[in-house]
Amino acid sequence: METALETIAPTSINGVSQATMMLDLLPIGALIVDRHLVVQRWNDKLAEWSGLPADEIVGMSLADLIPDAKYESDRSRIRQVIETGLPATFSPVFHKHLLPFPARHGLDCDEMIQQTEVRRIPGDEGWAIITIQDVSYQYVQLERLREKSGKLIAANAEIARHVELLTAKNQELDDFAHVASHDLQEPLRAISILVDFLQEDLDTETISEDCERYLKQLAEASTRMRSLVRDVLALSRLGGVDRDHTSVDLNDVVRQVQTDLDLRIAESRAIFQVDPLPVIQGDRRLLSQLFFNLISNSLKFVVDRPPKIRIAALEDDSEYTIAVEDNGIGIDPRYISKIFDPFQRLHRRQDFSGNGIGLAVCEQAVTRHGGRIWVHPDAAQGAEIRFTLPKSAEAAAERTPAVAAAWRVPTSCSRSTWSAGAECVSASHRQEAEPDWQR
Amino acid sequence: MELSVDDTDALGEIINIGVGRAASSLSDLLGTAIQLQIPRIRIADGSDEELQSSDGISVVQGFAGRVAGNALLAFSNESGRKLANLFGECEPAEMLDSFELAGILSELGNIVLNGVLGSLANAIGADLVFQVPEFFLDESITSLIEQRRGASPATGPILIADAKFSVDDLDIEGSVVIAFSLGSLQSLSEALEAVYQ
Repeated sequence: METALETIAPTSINGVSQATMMLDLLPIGALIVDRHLVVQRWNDKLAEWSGLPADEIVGMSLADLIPDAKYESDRSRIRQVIETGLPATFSPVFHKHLLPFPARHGLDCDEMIQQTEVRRIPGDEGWAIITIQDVSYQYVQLERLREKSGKLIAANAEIARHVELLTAKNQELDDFAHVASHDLQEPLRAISILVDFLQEDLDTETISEDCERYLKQLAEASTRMRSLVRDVLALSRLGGVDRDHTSVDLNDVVRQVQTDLDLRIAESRAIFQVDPLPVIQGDRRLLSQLFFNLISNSLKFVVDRPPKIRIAALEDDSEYTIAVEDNGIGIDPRYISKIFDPFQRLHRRQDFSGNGIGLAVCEQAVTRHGGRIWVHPDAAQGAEIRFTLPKSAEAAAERTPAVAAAWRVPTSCSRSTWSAGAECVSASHRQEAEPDWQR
Repeated sequence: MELSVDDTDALGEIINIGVGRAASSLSDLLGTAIQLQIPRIRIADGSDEELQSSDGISVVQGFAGRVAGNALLAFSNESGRKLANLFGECEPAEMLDSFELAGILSELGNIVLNGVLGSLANAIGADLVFQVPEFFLDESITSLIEQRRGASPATGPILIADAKFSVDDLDIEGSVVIAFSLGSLQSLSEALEAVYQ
């Protein structure tokens, strides 16, 4: 039976019309049906997919080819195409396939997933061409991708749940530390006052030396205990509420801390080198506490020579790295992973005073800003503490304190890199630089 | 040349008949009751704000003959995904791949636009040739119409019919847009005149 295609391409070669040959050249399945849905053409691609040659299929009706009743609505839509000329699209989401061929190339699905379109042939109003694309591969890939995405979403939800639990636990611990230290202050104050009264009222002429020594030790212990409780309270206060961030010039912060520590600096004859520091968005009080504790440590942990303290900044695309280095006694490499934990003391109390809270406070202050802090392992002399502060408020907000604890790792940043990087600090900061090695 | 108020009213009537048929076909396909209403029809030109938005999903079907142009079923991204997800059954909805989105909305759009264009062809008694539907993501309607203008030198007035799909207590809004080629307006007007007379 001749169709309009044969009219367009009337030549026949070896008994095969050009129209049929054109259909056979298509890289997709194509068949032509008449108004009774009897197959008139069946191209090579369909023969390849089905294993059924054209001469077996031509002349069969679609109802015989796909007898399943569920295809009746599809056949009805194909008839409408022939009657109205309005084309029809069969999406693989709604109809896995119009013709149920087995899947090829060892795909996960048993049957080919097809995208089908039906058009009336212009000039042949009783005929329609059905084109079929094999989209099984895309479908299988999509399923695999979805499976992976599903696992990823589940894993993310689990992480979010754990972070939430961790945050809640941290908050509980902060609250507990705050309440406990606050409530402990009162009886400790009473003990100190009563010890003072006892020392005043007891006649030193009549009490034994042992008794006098015990009272002195009691007074010292209660003073130490009050200092400890005060530090715990300060630490717990840092862990609580998010603070308002404003523009803070770290050069000003360091200058203020130097003023606050003026007496100790003068007594120790400390020498400072403060390179230009950046202006960041942050909590001025926390940042002041951070620099105060670091500089105090540098002033404290030095023997037999004036402390030399250098503060410098390095900048990359997303954050600033600040280093505070000194010429003191340094930090034993065995303890650098524990040094920021509360109550970690590396030295005897009689050698160096303190409660082991200072660096824990520093870590809190840095993590509250979304940064991280560590001991630089390759300090040439003394100790070098480095910490980062994100440039943007968004980056800071993303790094919650619960997550930031995992960041406390030494980096591989070498001293030569650091020196080169110091040149990166912007000119505006450079103009505000302190004189080198000022006394 | 512009469409008269009578022409617009007649086109509104034709589109309403078409979407009525389309709703029935959609319900059969989807196996669930789906209602499709056209609460408002208006005529716009290419500068209309609604046609400029590129945050959209469109299915476009061209037609040619005595009356020519392009018919579109257009949704905002959010509405289109919501509608597709009703049938794609994908959780969460964001994981609905554009491959599936294109498949679902092309077929839904094909049925709706076939309803409308079939009704138009019947009403004006014209033998039209229709193209297969094409799916577009993040293209403005104006840009699509311009791209598909073909040999037609200009596009005439654009008919925008608000479309409301109601499925399972959920209302999803979209638009049926028909952009007639300027050259076919005279024929359309004459054909419509015959309809309403």
